[in-house]
Amino acid sequence: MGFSSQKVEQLAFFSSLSLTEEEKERFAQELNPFLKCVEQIRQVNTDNTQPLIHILPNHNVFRPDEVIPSPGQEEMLKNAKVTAEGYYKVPRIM
Amino acid sequence: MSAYKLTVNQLINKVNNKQLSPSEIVESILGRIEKVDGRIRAFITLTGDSARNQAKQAGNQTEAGVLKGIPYALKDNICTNAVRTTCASKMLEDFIPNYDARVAKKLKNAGGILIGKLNMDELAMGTSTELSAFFPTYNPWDLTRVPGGSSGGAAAAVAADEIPFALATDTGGSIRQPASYCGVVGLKPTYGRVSRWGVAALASSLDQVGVLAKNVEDAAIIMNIIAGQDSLDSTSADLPVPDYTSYLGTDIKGMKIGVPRQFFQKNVASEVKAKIDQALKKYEELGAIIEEVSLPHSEHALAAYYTIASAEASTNLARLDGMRYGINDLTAENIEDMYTNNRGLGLGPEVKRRTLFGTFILGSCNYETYYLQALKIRRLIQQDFEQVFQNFDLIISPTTPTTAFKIGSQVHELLDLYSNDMLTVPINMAGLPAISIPCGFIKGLPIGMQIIGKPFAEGSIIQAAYAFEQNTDYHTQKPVLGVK
Amino acid sequence: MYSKYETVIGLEVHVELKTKTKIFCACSTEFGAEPNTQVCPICAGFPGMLPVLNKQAVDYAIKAGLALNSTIADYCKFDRKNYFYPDLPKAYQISQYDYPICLGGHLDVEVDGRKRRIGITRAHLEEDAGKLIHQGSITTSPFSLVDLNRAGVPLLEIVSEPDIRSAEEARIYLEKLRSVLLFAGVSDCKMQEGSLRCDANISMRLLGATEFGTRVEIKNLNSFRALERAIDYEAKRQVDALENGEKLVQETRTWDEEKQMTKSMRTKEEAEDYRYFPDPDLPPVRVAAEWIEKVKSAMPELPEEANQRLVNTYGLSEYDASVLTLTPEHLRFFDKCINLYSEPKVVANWIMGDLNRLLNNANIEINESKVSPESLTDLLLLIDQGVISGKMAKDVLEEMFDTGHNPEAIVKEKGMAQISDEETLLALIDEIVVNNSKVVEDYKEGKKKALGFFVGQVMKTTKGQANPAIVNKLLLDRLGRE
Repeated sequence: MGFSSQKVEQLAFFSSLSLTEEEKERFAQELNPFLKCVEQIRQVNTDNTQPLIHILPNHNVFRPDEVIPSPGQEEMLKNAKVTAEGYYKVPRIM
Repeated sequence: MSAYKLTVNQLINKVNNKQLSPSEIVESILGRIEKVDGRIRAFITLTGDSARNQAKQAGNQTEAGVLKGIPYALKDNICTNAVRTTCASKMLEDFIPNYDARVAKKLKNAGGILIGKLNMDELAMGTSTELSAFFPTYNPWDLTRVPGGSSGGAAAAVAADEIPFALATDTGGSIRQPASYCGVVGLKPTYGRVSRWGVAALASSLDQVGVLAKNVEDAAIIMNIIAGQDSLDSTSADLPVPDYTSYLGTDIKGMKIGVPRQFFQKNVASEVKAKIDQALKKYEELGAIIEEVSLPHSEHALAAYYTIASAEASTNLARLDGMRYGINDLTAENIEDMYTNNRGLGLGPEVKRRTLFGTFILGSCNYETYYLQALKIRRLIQQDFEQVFQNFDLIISPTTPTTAFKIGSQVHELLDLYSNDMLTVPINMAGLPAISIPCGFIKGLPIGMQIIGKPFAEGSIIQAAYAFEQNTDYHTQKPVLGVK
Repeated sequence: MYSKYETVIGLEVHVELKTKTKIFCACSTEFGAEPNTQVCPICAGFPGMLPVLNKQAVDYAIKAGLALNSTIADYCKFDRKNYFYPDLPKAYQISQYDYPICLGGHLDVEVDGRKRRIGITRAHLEEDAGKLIHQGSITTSPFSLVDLNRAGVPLLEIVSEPDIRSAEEARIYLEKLRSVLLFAGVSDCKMQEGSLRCDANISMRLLGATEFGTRVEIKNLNSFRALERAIDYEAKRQVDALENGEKLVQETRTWDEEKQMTKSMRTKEEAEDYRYFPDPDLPPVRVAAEWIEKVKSAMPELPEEANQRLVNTYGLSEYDASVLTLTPEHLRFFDKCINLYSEPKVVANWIMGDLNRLLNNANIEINESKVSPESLTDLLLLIDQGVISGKMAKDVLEEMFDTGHNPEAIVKEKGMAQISDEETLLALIDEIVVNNSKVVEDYKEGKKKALGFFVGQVMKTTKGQANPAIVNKLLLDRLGRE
């Protein structure tokens, strides 16, 4: 198992990252030793061990169903580079 | 003595006794920053004007919080209302939140005065602050060396007397490692002790907000303000918060301290081991009982940590797409180009690398092999600690395997760079509280000792750290800026 | 051509739960607000924002699960489903992957008089996405506008087993599901507002075969009609392909309402890898037996129970009962009428017949209509009292529906009251009988049709206002004396 620049390209697709050919090559090279280091965890015996998802044992943390006024359209749009008529605007989708 | 040199506790007393006004303090701090930050480069953003205004108002108030007129600074991944919060990323270069992180709000409500936002490795990924998208920060003890990271700006600013204290985040050692390199106190609380709300997430199950301060007493004072449950953070613990200052000055006779042999292996420099041994002797003199203990799974902590942290980071950072905030390539002709261009241009190489790796880890065909396995190892690590803590009050180790390294020396040595986290990562994996306090100097560079406690036993850590500090003078030594 | 094959259908239904606030933040969920006015840094995915679960959403999910005969899981958790799309601010949707809140369940439906049990696989909680506005269609619009008001509204996704066998059955299942959720009071289920949405998985297989064929998922089914048409279209498309020896591909298709056809969106090869993993920001949910009991005890009457009540208490047919329990508003309307008027069958016929027709034409719900249970039963009383005929009542109802006036006022205003006065009618009858002696002869010879002629004449002269029963009686009497 290793990273090729094709594999990196596929990962970049899922991560929505544009990479130059040179970057793909470089990341493939850099990620291989990294993966090798991470590979060691496969050797550890974890039979009968439950994955630890949450450090704290708490559960049922809830919020009451009460409305708090939203900051407003202008506030929510002011960090966006391009908006129109109260909407965020993005280029063509298909 | 100039105000900027004082500790939080000293400043509080001077304000209360009217020996210093908030304005005098703020001017002194701003003057200090003006004088030295050109060399340290700890700050990304300064909020001098609003700080001056706030100080003026505070001076007229009779009633105010504990921190009335006390300046502070925040790592730039802690969101601040109306103040640019960049995470040291090009992506967020001009992002201005309309909310204060819960911890920022708490300091504000206590009367503290925000002086500015501190440099860091981009999006908290790194151990040297060289990976800031803007500029590196320099270690006040040796300007040719890194201050550590990712909270390098925070540690350097405190060490250089640019700020009495700072808040930062610690995901795998990002508070403790720079504290060790810069010779200051760095406390990472138990996971869930301090609200993460409003703090840009790196790895949600590992991140925790903590303090960088000049001494243990100040760290205790700040913990009193920032600790506690938050209804906006579902992972914050619903437990009472003790008065951490009540742990200062108590003696430690009979305290049982475990020393994990796995934390003293070949990667740890012999000079560092020697400093820790010296410190342990001091603890023995003070009446503590020292014994060797074993944390067998900690050798896999780093690999499991990078698996989990990269996976979580890859999805936490996916929101940085440029649509609602952040840089946006307006020339993109379709949505896919918009995403890939914005993220391609806005994110640095380390962020991309970890994003790619995290995406790989979470892929449906790798999930069980890597991610789930890492979570299982995480449990084994936690159980190791649990076992030791059945018989011990604290665990002590070095914070870092070496002192601060040279700028540029490790940028291309990926795995070496990550091994800086080797001794701090297991603590995040187990969600435990830990502090790094100065325990000596090696060739003029500070080195830290890590004291690890049981879950929510920040009090015991503070107690032991304070006892050591009271019997040593490492924390009072100051760097002479500009030498070397 | 279809006889060789059977259609195998499973539905994935998304319903918005009718909480006041979103599932993970306190923004309002009210429909129809100005764009991006019900949005905060949390639901817009700003840095550092964290989700906190709305308890009401969990309560509703439990309630819905119980109403669908599901088992409520004692442990469930939230996961991140990762993909990039402009309506998904965090680039992940918080959903439930391997531990959903509701497990199993079923709905019983009646198709062509046959009872069928449709299995429910699971139901899980998740957050809704925002809304995209296009100039023209999504494929041609040079840009899109994003409104995040809907982003974070709580959804319950209800996944059926592939137990459905026809378009009609799919519609009836969806209607029943809607009715159950409406009765349980967990959702508005308004398809036109998007609070009830449906995707269908369709495959064909030879009758008797046990293996499933290649499955196609159809999205964007925004009405009961679209659901039926899309299934029919897709079944035919698949059968045609199979008959022509073409290989079907597993893919996602969308229903094009304009062209009335399904169109390919993406194939399995292009399918996303959603990289599900447990959301570290949200602790798990544990539902104890007491919690379930509490929800159970507050459960309102559900369609099935109501149905039985109507059959047992009022002697209505199963069919009538099922129509009256399609929505809780219908049932409530019927129940109110029954308190005011003692003949259930008559009330049922008026609601199911004339009133439903008016409601459908106007495309409104019974509770939005100007006809109230009080005014409808007043109308029925007018018929019973002989003030108007049943036929006249239909016109009066239409007037009531349009104007909201009460029936007495309408009858009075339009001079529609019946003529029941025997003296007046007798005078008229006398005149008609005298003027039509030939028809009288026919009558005497036993031609029964002749009676109809006289009734018609009376009605014509009185513009239909003569009380037909009295006219009949008087005519028989009068002609008998000839």
